[in-house]
This record gives sequence, structure tokens and C-alpha cells, in this order.
Amino acid sequence: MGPVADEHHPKAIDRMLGIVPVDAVLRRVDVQAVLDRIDLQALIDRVDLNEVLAKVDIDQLAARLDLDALIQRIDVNAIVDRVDINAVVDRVDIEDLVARTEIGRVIMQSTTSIATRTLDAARSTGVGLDQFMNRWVDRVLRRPRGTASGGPARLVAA
Amino acid sequence: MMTRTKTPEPEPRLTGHYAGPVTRLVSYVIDAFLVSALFSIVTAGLFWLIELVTGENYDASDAGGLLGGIVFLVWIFLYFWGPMAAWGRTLGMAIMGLELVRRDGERVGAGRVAIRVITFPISFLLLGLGFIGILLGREHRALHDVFAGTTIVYAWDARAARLRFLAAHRTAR
Repeated sequence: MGPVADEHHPKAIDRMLGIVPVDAVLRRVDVQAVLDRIDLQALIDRVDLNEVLAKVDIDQLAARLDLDALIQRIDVNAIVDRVDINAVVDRVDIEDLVARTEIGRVIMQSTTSIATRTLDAARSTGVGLDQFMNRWVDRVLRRPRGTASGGPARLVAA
Repeated sequence: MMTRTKTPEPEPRLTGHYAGPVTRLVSYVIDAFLVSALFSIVTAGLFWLIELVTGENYDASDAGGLLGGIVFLVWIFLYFWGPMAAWGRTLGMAIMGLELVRRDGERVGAGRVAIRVITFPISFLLLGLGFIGILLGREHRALHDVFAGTTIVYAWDARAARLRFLAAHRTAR
């Protein structure tokens, strides 16, 4: 008997249900076995999630969220304590930052005078010429490359 | 068309390394000029003051060649010894970013500086051979450095200079 039977013989079905002890029948049903027979994955596959999500009003959902209460529950200090700031700073390429950002302009405006730039240039040029001379001396004396002692260990190590 | 002169990038990793011959020569030339120029200015000022007070005309030659020479030698000693004992550098060395340190890198004391300044002429007297170590030696030490147990290193803030260099090129773009 299907829905067609329900439509044509409603009274007969009511009578039949009146005779059957429904509670006793239900008590004998093994619900676990019934659930085991249900293929949940197949059921989920049949659900169109996009259609469900399209019906959800995200804005309304977000409006109902108490963000302040949520943030208050987060212990920011504990998070910061777990961050190794030195490691983060070490990973920052300061020179690249200066070369690529407005920080360079700020440094130039705040610290650089003509005298400073002249000094920097004179010293850099001097060091460049020193290295040039050192390379030639090493070549003439046939010293192997990389044998220069650098500087006092205390200063170079520092 | 304007051309930009090519300046080498400052090299922070060289701070604390032995200073080379060119930088040291330039710093010495600056000091040689300053020691004479300041002596002339100071003596001229002193004679002007004496003339102002006594009302009589004096000339440097009035002091006598020997006395003048001794005063000049004392002046040279004080010019080099004073700043190096106090700050580890003369004016010329400060301009070129150099510092006098002990051979082990420790700060130099007034005694060692005195030995270095007093033995400095010996490097000249041996036909300049006392300076050959600056050119050829691994530690770039002159004879007077050997006597005093000192050496000269780069001691300027090349890191800050490098950042200024990069910043200058960024703003020049």
C-alpha cells in the first residue's frame, strides 16, 4: 500500500492502525540496526551545500556575533609571549626595507647632512682603495686568498 | 647631463678590521696639515695677545730657532698623544673613521700612546722602511705600532652609513 491507497482508503488505514499496538511494535524495533543501514555519506552527497549556504545571511549571522566579548576572551599577552620577537626581527631584511620603502626618505631627511654624506663617501672610498691595495699586495706576495687575518679577534668576533 | 660619481657601498662587516694603507695615509696627511695649521693659528694668536698686552712688536723668530723647534715638537706630541690617549684617535683618524687599539683589540692606554708617538720618528728615520709593515704586513702595523703593541682598525659606524647610502639611492630614483 502506498500514498494512493492512503488517499482512497483513509478510514481503512485508521482502523488498521487502531488495531496494531504501535508502541509495542516500536519497542521491538532495533533503532541501532536501522541507523546502521542508513548511508550518511550518500545522504550528505545528495545535499546541495551551495544552495544551503546561499540561503544563509552571513551579514545577519555576523551581526549577531559579539566580537568584543570574543576578543576579551582572547589572552593577547599570552599570544605575544609565545612570539619570539627577536627571531621575527632577524628575519626582516632592514636594508631591503630601507631601499624599498619610505623609511629611506625619512632616514635621509632626519640624519643626513652634506658633511655626513661627504664623510661616508670619503671613508667608503678609502676602504675601497685599501682593499684594492691589499689585493695587489697579496697577489705580488703570492698569498693565498682568504688568509688575511681581518682584525683583532675581540673586535672581529664582536 | 649630470653624472653621479660612483662611491663604493659602505661595508659594515669590515668594522674592527685592520685599517689599510690608503686610509691611514690620508688620515696622516690630514693630521700633518692640521698640526701645522693649528700651531700657526695658536702661535699667531699668542703673539697677538702678547703684543696687545705689552704694546711691543714680536715675531716668531724672536723666540729663537731651537726654542721654537722644541715648542713645535712638544706641540706635535700633544696633538697626537692627547686625543689618542683620550679617545683612541686623532682628528685625521676620526675623519677617516679609524681607531688606535691594543693588538688584542682592547682600548689603548696613555702610556702605549706615548711610546707610539715618541717612536713614530724612528719609522721615518729608517728611510721610511718603518712604514712598510702598513703596506705588506697582515696586520698593517708600522714599526711604531710594533714598539707600542698597538694597531689601527676601522671604527666608524659603517652600518648606519650603509643605510644612509641605500636611503640616498632610494630617494635619488
